[in-house]
Amino acid sequence: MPLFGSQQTENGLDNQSMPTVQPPMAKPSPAKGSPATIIANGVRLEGEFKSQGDVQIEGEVLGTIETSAMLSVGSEAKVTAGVKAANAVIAGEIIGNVSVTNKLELKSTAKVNGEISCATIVVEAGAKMQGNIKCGSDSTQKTSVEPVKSPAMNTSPQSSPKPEQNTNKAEAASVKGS
Amino acid sequence: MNPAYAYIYDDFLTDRRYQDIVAALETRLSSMSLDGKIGRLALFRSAKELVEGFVNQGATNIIIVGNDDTLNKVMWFLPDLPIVVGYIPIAEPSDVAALLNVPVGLDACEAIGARLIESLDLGKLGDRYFLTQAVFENTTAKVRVNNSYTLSLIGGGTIRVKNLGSITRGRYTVADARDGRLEITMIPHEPNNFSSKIWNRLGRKKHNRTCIQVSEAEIISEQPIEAQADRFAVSGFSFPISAVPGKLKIITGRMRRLS
Repeated sequence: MPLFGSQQTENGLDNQSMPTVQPPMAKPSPAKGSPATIIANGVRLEGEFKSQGDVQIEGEVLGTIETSAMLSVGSEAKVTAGVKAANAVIAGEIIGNVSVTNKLELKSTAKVNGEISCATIVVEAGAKMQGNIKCGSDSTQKTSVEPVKSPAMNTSPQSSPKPEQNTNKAEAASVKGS
Repeated sequence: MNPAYAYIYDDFLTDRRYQDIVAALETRLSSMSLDGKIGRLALFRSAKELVEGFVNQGATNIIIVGNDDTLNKVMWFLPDLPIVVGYIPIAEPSDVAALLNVPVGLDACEAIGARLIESLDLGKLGDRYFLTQAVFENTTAKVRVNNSYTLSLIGGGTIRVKNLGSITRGRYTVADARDGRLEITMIPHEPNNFSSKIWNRLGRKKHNRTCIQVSEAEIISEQPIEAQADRFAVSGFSFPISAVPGKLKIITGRMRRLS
């Protein structure tokens, strides 16, 4: 083992020539001066909701939700809406498309019925998904968030997005790398 | 006498119980060269005309002497005047003094003398200003924000619109009164079942509060609802609410609980 110079690995490769491991993507901090919004159990939100700070949902939502920070959907929450966030942790039910710029985490109680697009995805055992999954750094650029309207607000029969059915299970579970 | 200061005394201070403290207060203010003209609120006397009279005579600081009810009697027009407001709490309730960290009694004179002035936001319920909060108790009203989304309590509950904050059962609930926004808290009714009673007994009450921050919104209801804004009650079917940034210049204490 040399005192000076580079150390060689078992394969005989020089450490300095080995590819460096990229650090995990930093979690973006919520926008300063934008306090968290909490939609608690027992409250229903209808319409287009936009926020600059963290959003925590424990109740019912109908419409669209957009935040440039963290979105948390609790296990008892029911979201019938298009969702767009920088980061998201989902433990409840979402009927609608989900577009996350950075990291999406699906807990074991999560149920997502819609198209998912994100840069990074973490799925716990037990999470249920029905729809396309697009994962990668360029996947979120092409995904649009469409509002999901209630039956009373629907003006046309095709106003709500329908999740695409995946016949190929392997395709649904594949993760496209950058 | 300092012409820049005018003191508005509440009617109840004429009672014998308060004679000693009022005398001591005037002596202390005189020693600090802060003594000014004195006006007293009365049943058939217009508080607005009284204050406007002092302002026309050159007063730039209007100091309210009494309690939170006294402050409420004048808060609906004071912010529209070019003055700095001070508060000397003598009696209870004095929750607003606690939120501003102004001591109760003679020590409030030190806060007036220190003259730490803050520009606070005010809330507006309809056409009436409120400083601390507006509360809609036991209601099924909805909150409509910017005509873009609506929040509704599924089983009814309480809606609080906070500007400065409130004190409930000795606990402070402070909201930021300098961010140009109001904090709306919606608290649904608690279910009256066995499990919720057990959780309450164990001290593990579920925090079930919806919190959003808005600059303006509207409280709407199909049935008439009653609102309590700074101890002033109003009723109606809809209430536009908005935050008026930096509307009130008020003297606060050193360790103020504003945010």
